[in-house]
Amino acid sequence: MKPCDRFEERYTEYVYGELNASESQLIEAHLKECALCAKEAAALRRTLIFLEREPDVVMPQEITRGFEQGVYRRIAFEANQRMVESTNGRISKWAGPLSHIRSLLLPSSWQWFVQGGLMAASLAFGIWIGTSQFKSATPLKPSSVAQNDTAQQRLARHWQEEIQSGLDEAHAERYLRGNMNAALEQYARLSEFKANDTDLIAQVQVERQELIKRTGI
Amino acid sequence: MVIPVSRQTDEQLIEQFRQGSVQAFERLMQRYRDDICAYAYRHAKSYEDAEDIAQEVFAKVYRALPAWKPQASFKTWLYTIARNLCTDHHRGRIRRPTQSLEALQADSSDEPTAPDSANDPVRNLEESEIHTVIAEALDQLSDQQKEVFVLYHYQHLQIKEIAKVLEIADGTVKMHRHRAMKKLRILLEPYWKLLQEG
Ligand SMILES: [Zn+2]
Repeated sequence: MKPCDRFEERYTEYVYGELNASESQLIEAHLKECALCAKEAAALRRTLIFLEREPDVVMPQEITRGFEQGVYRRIAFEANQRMVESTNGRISKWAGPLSHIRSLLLPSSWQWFVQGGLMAASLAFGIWIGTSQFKSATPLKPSSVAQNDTAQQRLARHWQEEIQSGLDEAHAERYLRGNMNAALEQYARLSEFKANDTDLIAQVQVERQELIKRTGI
Repeated sequence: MVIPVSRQTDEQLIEQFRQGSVQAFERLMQRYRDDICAYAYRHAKSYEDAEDIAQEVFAKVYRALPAWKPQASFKTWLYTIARNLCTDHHRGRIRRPTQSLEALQADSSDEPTAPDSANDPVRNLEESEIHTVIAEALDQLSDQQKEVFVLYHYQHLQIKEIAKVLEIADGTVKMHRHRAMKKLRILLEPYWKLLQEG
């Protein structure tokens, strides 16, 4: 014995409370007359109530703490990968994402940390925590250019190191920003640096040209 | 007048990001991080894997957002990316079909049977047990049924939004959801009956 087809298919909507008043009345009238359907609808409702007992998924803090940094690292890693893969490696493709990342890491940002009354030691601590927290599968290492690398590999390594060092500073900045008012001020000040984006792109282009000369591509 | 960030729409934040504001991107990330992590966790069943997937979602968003042409809401797009990455993640792994899953695949009918463990005299279901029981039940749904149910019940997407994410008709979404509910009813009935008795 099965519940009546023409009513049965509406029961999920019914228990989720999605039917309008007249539709609900129609269903309820039927449930009063039909024991099988009443049992089915009641069972669906009990199932929903049981599902509601499950607690929400809450990510552990030790995972979410490094979340943003992980995202930035992935962005940088991907940009770098694409540069390695591309045959002509045109800077314009990467200028956008890289300038965003780099705009957070201008060397002058160090001055702001100091002016904000924050100890250089805590910055170093931030870098240390930030770096050690990264378990993400990036092959970035504090490597140096090896003698037997091809020119293309040297270029790739140079960029890896660029991105790596820049990101480490970004970690520190975010850690410090996370727990104090001074960090919020820092946040506002950092946005002022963004005006320098175009300079950064130009600077990166020059660096790259020089590297190309040196490595003889 | 400056609109408080918390009240800015996704569209406003996207526009700011396009004009170069990384903070706008971070706001979007903060707004959706927990939802996307929870969604990924439902699929990956590990916090670490869920984090990997969710981080990749936002990295993709960062890269794609400047060129993104809205055909639906940002949220719908976000879930589309998340869903694809969850699928990739799933395919990248060696599947270890459980006994009950094999049984379900062998049985082409839409009527699952409650797993044996459902008959265990479990009197007091702890929260973590409830989670496991429900996760196992969800795994017995078809891929589409599970996807629809998770997006609707846990992620609170509307039928129309789910239809966009999965690229199926509204009616099809409702059909999958109803079938999912009927299966869950059968799979979970032993548990809520126990709770009722207890
Ligand atoms: Zn009936």
